[in-house]
Amino acid sequence: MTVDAGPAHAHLLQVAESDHAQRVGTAAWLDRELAFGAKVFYKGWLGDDGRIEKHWIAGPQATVRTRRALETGQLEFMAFPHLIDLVGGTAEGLHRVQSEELHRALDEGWTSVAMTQESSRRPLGDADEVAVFARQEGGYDALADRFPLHVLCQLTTAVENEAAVVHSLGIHHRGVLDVGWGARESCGRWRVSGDLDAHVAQRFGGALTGAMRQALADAEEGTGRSPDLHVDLAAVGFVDVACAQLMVLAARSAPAGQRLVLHDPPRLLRRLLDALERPDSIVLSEGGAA
Amino acid sequence: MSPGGPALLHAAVVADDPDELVPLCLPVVDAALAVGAPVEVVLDRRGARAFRAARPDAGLQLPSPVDVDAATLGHRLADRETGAVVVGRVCADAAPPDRPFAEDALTVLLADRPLSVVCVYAPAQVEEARRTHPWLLTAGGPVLSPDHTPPATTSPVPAAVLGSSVDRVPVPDGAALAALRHRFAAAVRDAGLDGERAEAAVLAAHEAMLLACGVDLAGRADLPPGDHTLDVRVSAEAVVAECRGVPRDPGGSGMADQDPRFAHLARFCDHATAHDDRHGRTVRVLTGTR
Repeated sequence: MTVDAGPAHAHLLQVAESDHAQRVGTAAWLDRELAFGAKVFYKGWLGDDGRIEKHWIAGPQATVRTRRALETGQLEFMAFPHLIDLVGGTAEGLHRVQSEELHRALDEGWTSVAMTQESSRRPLGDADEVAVFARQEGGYDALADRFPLHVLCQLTTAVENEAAVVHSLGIHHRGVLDVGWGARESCGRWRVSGDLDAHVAQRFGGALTGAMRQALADAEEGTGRSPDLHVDLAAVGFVDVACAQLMVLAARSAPAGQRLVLHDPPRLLRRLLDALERPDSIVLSEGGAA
Repeated sequence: MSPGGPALLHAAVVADDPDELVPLCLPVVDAALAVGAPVEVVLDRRGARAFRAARPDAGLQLPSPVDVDAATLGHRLADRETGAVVVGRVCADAAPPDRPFAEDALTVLLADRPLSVVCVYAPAQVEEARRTHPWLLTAGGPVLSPDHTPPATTSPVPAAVLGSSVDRVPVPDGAALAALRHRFAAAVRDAGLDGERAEAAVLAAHEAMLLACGVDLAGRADLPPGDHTLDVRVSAEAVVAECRGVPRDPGGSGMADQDPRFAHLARFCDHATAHDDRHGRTVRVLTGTR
């Protein structure tokens, strides 16, 4: 997996199953942002001795450009415990830190800003904690809408519990780069790519649920939008029973009036959904406008 | 039948002479006679006489050993009545190179048949008997053979039946499912399939591996870690995915052919079979190429 391809996403969740895979992807993202002249803020974990010299971005797993950026100040590292002290555990506190870093970088003359943070290892054990997390991540979206900001959130499944993984995917459904599949929101459609199989089903289900919930919330805000979720599957090569079943479950559990509209589905998906007794709230569309 | 349920009891019994052999076999023989199931004793004249003397009123079938061929024994027993018992030296008297093949063929071909096949071995053959039989018949009844080496997923089934093995793919965990699909898709293409039929064959193979590993559609979707393998077999008429699942932590996954996933995958191939044994599960899906 690597993020070193295609246009940069404003706010991307990079999912990896091991620290090594996460570092490979993040190293590529860092190198690209630095090469394009961005000021980069990195939030991460340090070892017991608290020394940045021991962190991988200061070692051979990072590129020469990254190591040099640490020396010149183009790349700034902040340890999570220090960030937690600054933030005070609130969404507002994090928004303040994000905003201060962004404006300081722009004031210093950097033409773009990038922020990344390692897997946070938060348990996300209850709805309140999930809501705070969602608001914190919303701060990145609000800034990225107005300023030249790229955000890479790292999610390493090996160090997170299942609830944290699922909720993270739901909150970040607009931009996901996972193992073998990805998703992004564009032009009113949730565009999914890659292979959707049992290995990633839980994560895909989390993202799908988040996308359905967001579509409903947008409609309920009085925007005049339909609550339907339009999913573009043109770039999906494979869907198995587990993921097809998740689509059926998501549609069945949606409130009345919300539909799951699947555009350009893989040709076997129709047969799969029919075998799973596709509800009327799943609509299959071959192309056409959203 | 197997003590674990309605499946094959394929056991070796080690005895030097009929007087020693008959008491070891009588509990199994009597259990069959009690439910009216047929009992066949394929031994020389001395052995047959000992069984007839032990149960003079039972209608034992006593064919001559020269009329029973080890190579075709599996087919001969395939349509035996439920609970039937066969005692004999058919495999033990076969030529040494043919013995393990004949025993493995019985283990695989009759795996889900509720029969008891008791193979009589001399004390000098005890190591071979323990290695080639899942069960050992002792004075205390059937016990699992600790030295049994299960047949390879392909070798016991002749190429004339399922085609030659053209590829073997280790699938240690869910992350390897993509490689399974990729490699099987290549074989399917080489076999001359394309379009929706080729995609359906790949989907069936993918689902077969999940079923082989006992992945429940209602529970956690991902493949549990284990020594799972896909064997790709190709003949002039068909391409077969032979999926062998051996989870490290086997759970109670129930009967394979009653799993909803079995019904789903059967829609995407021409023929599907599933066999459970004490080490794991083998699921084969066949798609015709003509």
